[in-house]
Amino acid sequence: METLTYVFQFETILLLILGLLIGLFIGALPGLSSVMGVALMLPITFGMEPINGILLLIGVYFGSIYGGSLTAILINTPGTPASAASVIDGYSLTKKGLAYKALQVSTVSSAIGGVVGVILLILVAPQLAEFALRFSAPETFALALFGLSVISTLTAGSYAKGMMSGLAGLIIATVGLDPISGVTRFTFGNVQLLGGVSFIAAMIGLFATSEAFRMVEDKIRNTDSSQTINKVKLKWSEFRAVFLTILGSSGIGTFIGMIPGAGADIASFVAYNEAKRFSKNKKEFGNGSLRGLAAPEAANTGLTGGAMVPLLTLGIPGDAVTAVLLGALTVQGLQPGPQLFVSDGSLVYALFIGMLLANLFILIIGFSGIRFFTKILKVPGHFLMPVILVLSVVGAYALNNNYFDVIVMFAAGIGGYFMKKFNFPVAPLILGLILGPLLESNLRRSIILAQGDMTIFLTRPITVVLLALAVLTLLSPLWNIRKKWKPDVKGEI
Amino acid sequence: MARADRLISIVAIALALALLAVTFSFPSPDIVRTSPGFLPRIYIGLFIIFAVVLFMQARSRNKEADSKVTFDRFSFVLMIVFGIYLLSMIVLGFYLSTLLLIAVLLWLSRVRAWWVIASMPLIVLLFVYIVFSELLNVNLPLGLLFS
Repeated sequence: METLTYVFQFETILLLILGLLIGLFIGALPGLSSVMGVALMLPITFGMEPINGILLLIGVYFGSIYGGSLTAILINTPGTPASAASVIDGYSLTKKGLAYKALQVSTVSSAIGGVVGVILLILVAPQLAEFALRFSAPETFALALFGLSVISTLTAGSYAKGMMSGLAGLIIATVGLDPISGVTRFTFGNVQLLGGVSFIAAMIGLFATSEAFRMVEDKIRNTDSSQTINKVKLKWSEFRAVFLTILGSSGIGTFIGMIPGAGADIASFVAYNEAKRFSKNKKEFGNGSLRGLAAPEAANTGLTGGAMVPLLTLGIPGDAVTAVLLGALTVQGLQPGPQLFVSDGSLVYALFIGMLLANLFILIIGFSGIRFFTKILKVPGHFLMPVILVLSVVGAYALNNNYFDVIVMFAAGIGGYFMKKFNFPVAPLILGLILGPLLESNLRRSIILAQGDMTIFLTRPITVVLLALAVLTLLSPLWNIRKKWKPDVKGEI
Repeated sequence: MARADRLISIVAIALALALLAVTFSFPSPDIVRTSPGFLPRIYIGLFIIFAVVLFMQARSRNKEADSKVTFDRFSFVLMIVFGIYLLSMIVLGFYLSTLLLIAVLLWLSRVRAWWVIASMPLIVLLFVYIVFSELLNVNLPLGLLFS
C-alpha cells in the first residue's frame, strides 16, 4: 500500500509524463542521446522527493529511446544510436506510404518491450544479475562478434558490398589510440583523431546528411520528398503475427541490457537478426517488414529493464545512462546493491511500478501523437532539407562541443550519399563502428587473460554458444547463394 | 553499375593495401601479446578479399541486365555549398553562416517568396538558440568575427 501511495500521486505522475515528453523531444533530435538527456535533467532532481526525481529521469530515459525511432521511421534519421536498426524497415514502410502503421508498430513494440523488461526485472533480477556476472572478456567478445554477424543479414542484395561496408566500419573504428597498448593508429599526425571517429557524428552524416543531399534530387525531378500518408492502421491479425517477435526481441533486449558495455544499439541489431533468422519470409526484411521494425523497437526498450538489473541488484551501472542513474540514486541517499531491496523495498517497488506506468504512457502518448508526428511528412523537401542539414551540424557539434565532429559528419554525409548511389548498405558500416571497439578490446583482453592460449574461446559454454551462433549467421547467406548463384544472370553475392 | 563496381573495387583494394602498409609502422610494445596492428590487418585482409569478389562479380555480370547510376548536378552543388558553409562558420560563426545557408538553399530550391526566405532562417535559428544554447548549454561556435 505504501508503494502505491508513493507512485499514485498527482505530482509523481505529472513528472513522469513530463520526463517522457522531454525524453521524446531529446531523442528525436539527432546527436542528443539518452545519456545527455538524463545527465541534463539530473541537477533538477536534487531538490525533489527521491521517487519523483528518479521517475523523472526514468521518463527521460524511456522517452528518448522511443523518440529516437520517430525520426528514424519518418525521415531516415535515427535520433539515437538505439534506433539505427529501426531505419531499415521503418523508413521503407514510410516510403510505401505506411508511416502511420509503422509508428503504431513502433509504439506497441516499444511499450511491450519495456513492460517485458520491467517484469523480468521484477521476477528474476537476482538470478539475472548472477548470470550477467559470468560475462567476462571472452563472453563479451563473443557477444560483440555475434552482434557483428548481423552484417550478413543487412547486405541488401550484395553480400560482398555489405561485408565491405561492415569491414570499413571496423577499420574506421580502429582509428585513434589502441585500447590495450595506447599506440596511435591511422591518425596521420592529427590530434583530433586520437580519440577515434565519433560513431554518432558518423551516423548523423550517413543517415541524415546524405538523406538531405538525396532530397535535392527529388526536388529537381519534381518528385518532392513530402510523402503520401495512408492512414492504414495496424490490423489485429498483423499484431498477432508480430507478437511473438516482439516478445522474443524484448527478451533479447533485456538480456543484452544486463551485460555491461552492450547498449541498446547492439540489442536492436541482434534482435533484428534473430527476427529475420526465424522469419519464414526473409525477403521482406529491408523492404518494409513489420517484424523487421517490431524487433529492434521491442529490443531497445526491453533493454531498459535489463540495464536496471545490475544497477539495482549489484550497484553496477552497465552503461552511461545507468551510471547517471546510479549518481541520482546515491544523491537521493539510496545505495544500490543487494541491501537496497531490504532497506528501501517500498521505494524500489514504487520504481518498478513507475517504470511500468512509463511504458503505458508511451503507448498513450505514442498513439495520440501519431497524427501529429506524421505531419512532418507533409513538409515539402525544400523546407525539410535545410532544417535536417542545420540539425545535423548542431547535433554533431553538441556531442563534444567539437568542430571536428562536424567535419566527420560532413565526410560521412558525402560517403553515405555515394554508398547509397552504388548500392552499398550503410547500416553495416555503423554496426562496425559501434561494435569494433568492444570486439577488439575484449578479444585482446581475453588473449592476455589466457596468456595467449586461444582455447579460452572453446572452454567457456556461453562463449562457445555465442561464437557458434555468430559463425552460423555469417555463413547462412553463403548457403543460400550457393543454391541460387548463376554468374551470367546476376553475378552478385 | 558493373563498371562502377569494378572501379570501386580497384580503388578500395589500392586504399586497403596502403592502409595495410601503414599497420606495419605501428610500434609493438613487448608487454602486450597482440600487436596494435593485429586486428586492423585481419579487417583489411578480409576487406581486400571481398573487394576482389566484388570485382570478379562485376566482370561476370551481364551488361544488358545491368543498371546505370545517375547523378544530379544539384546534389554536388549542395555538397559544395554545405562545405563552404562549414568553412564560413569558422569566421562568421554558427548563427550568421546558418542564416545565409538556409536563405541560399531556399533560393536554390526555387523558393522566391521573400518573406519565406527571410523568416524561415530566423525561425530555425530561434529554435536552435532556445533549445541548444539556452536549455542544453551547447556553446555553438561564434566565429572569429564575434568571439
